[in-house]
Amino acid sequence: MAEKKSKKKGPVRTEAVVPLLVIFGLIALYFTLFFDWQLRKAFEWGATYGNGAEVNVGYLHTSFLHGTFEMGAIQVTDPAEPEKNRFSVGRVNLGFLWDALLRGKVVIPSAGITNIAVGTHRDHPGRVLPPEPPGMISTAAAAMWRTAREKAMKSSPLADFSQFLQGFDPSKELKELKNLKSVAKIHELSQQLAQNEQVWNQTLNSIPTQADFDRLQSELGGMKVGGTSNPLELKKQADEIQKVVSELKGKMKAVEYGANGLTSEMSNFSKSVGQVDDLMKEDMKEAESGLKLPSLNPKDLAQGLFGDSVLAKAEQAQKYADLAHKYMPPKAAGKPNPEPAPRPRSTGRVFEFGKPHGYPAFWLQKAEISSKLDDSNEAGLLSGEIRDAASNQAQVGRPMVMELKGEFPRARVNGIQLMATLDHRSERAVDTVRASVASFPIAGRDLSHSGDVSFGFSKASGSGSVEGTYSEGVMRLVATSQFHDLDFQIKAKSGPLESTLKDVAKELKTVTVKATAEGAPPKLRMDIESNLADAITRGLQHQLQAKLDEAHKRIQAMLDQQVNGPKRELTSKMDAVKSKIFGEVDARKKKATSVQGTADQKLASTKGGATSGAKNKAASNLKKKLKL
Amino acid sequence: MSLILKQVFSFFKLLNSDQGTGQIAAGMVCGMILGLSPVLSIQAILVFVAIFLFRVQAGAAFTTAALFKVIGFALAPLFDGVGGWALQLDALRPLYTEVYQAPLIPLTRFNHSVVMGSGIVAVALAAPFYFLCLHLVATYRTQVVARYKASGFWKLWSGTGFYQWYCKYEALHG
Repeated sequence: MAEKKSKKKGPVRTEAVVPLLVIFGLIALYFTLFFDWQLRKAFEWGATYGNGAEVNVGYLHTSFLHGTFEMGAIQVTDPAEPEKNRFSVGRVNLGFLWDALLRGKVVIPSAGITNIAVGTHRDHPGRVLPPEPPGMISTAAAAMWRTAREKAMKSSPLADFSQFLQGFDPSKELKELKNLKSVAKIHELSQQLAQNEQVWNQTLNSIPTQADFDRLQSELGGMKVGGTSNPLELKKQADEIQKVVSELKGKMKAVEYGANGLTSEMSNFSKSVGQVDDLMKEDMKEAESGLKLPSLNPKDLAQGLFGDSVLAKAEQAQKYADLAHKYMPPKAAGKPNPEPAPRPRSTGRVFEFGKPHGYPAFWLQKAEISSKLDDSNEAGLLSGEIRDAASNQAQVGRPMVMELKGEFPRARVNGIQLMATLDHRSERAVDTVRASVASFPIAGRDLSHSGDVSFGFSKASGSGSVEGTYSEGVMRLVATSQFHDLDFQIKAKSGPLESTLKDVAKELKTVTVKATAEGAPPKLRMDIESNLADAITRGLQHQLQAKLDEAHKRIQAMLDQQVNGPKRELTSKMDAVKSKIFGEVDARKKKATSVQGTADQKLASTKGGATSGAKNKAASNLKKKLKL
Repeated sequence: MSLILKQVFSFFKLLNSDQGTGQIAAGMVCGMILGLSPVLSIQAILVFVAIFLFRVQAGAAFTTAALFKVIGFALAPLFDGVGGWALQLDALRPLYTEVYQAPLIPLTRFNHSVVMGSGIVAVALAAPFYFLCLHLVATYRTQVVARYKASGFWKLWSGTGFYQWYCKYEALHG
């Protein structure tokens, strides 16, 4: 049977054309049937994690052919009140330029965001995600903000006032003062004194002693002076005395030198003992800080009352600014395009090669925000726009600008104005924001909440403004707020504190707060002023000051009790050593002076003998010449 | 998926035969380029279509692509260095600026350091890798397959009824 000759196949696999078409057909079918649904779910998932509570998207449509994207019925759950939305958006529509898409860029010439509402009720309560555990904090900056906020929340000046006024006993709080620097210094000096005493004794032994001076005294006593008129004999006597005197002077000098050294060392040691008083002051300060004695500074109180909310706003502002810098990097020094954002090496870097009139990687040219009141009155009356949100502003040549104004009558939020400019065109990026709200309702706010005191208001009306700049990693924020129509809620265990707070609440019709923040943790400088803090401080001034003075006295007494005993012991020991050493030195000096006196007398005698001998000799010679 | 698995099995069958050495080597080169390219890029789609349209061994291509995808992850820092260096060459900046604004070319994501680095490495290694694959396949067939077929175990196995039945089934159904 003749074998069937197989036809030689060419380099093109013609039989694969149909399977390939089937594959492309399946891909097209996937994008038609499932892509929008999957994208909507992915958007909901991502936004829920970003918001911390459920986000729903009612519909989402994309069209590759028309280059459009549209989604709507967006509901963003308020994590604090899951049955309400933080805000909802009726419709978001974007149109992409095909010309840019073919170049791998996303350019949106016009977009619309319409029917925005705040505080609307949800059909069902939104799912709230559990708070992020401390170990899961994503960045070092976030960890520092959290630490700063935890510190601010722990600080509760009103609770400290309450505990203090209820009856403060430092001896109970402190129990015993431990690790006192002053006591440690006294122990150190006691040991040093024992060592020094040995050294000083050695120094004392190394200088001429009483015995040395006694020997010289006896040497001088044994010398026969006078008894002769012979000048040679007399000169010999004087020379012997002079020899002793020079030895005496050497020894006196040695005593003086040793005494000076000892005086200087003892003076230094006395100075060290003097440092104990400074350390006692430090111990006092530390003991007081350990006791958390309340500060009567109105700024500290204002920080305790409003610090956390200011920090929360500052943290949020920094987060947005960092995001803007990440996705709209400023121009790099000396380069036409922004430097790619540093990423882990394995994920690579994206370089931009933009040129004038070209497209940047992303450019939202204009998005109109508009919202009109509807029948339900749920939507807000808003108008505004976002212009030139671009990944390369240097290329676009214009900064990103966001303007918004309007009101939400149903939510009683009026006079909203926002103007934000993010200018990343040059190497020095500058973000500025000015926002204000003429009036908004406040459902309830705890200013201080602890077991000892609960202070806040159940409802109020507020107004406020904020101005901020962010440049070169430094944020400057000035926020002012006014609260009126206040319904204070006051409860304190301390009677005097409760009555003071009630008096303040009666007196104040409007609470004002002015906060400034500059920098970022750990170098964040925050300054808060409030008429509420001023009024509370004034009210508590008299009572607190008396208590504070009493507390200072009692802590000082406890400190004295621990320090004064060992300190007295040290000083008396030091005085004893001093008097022993200097007594001995003085005795030697005295003896040396006495020996010096004897030597001087003896020398004078030899001079006297020599003079009378010479006189006698001259008289006898004269008599011989006169032959008397 | 079954289409791809079928191609992979036929790759091993062809590898153990004495035909299609060039197809296997070409398939492995395509697989290397596919493995080193980002999945959602125009060059990956083009290579994918080429594997189907041209008579290269698709099984060899997909197996090699899977292997080079893993190698690509491990060598990402190296590719980042190579790509970063190439993208920062001042001499090529005008060219990059031009093609960055041209249609379709930016869809290759050439301006990404890892993509550029892996692309340079893949293109540079394509020809040497082709000849290396030819050599390796030939060596495999002479050193491993021939020795295995001469072994006692293979003779014993190929004499079994089950093996005979399998060969008949393979001849009839492919």
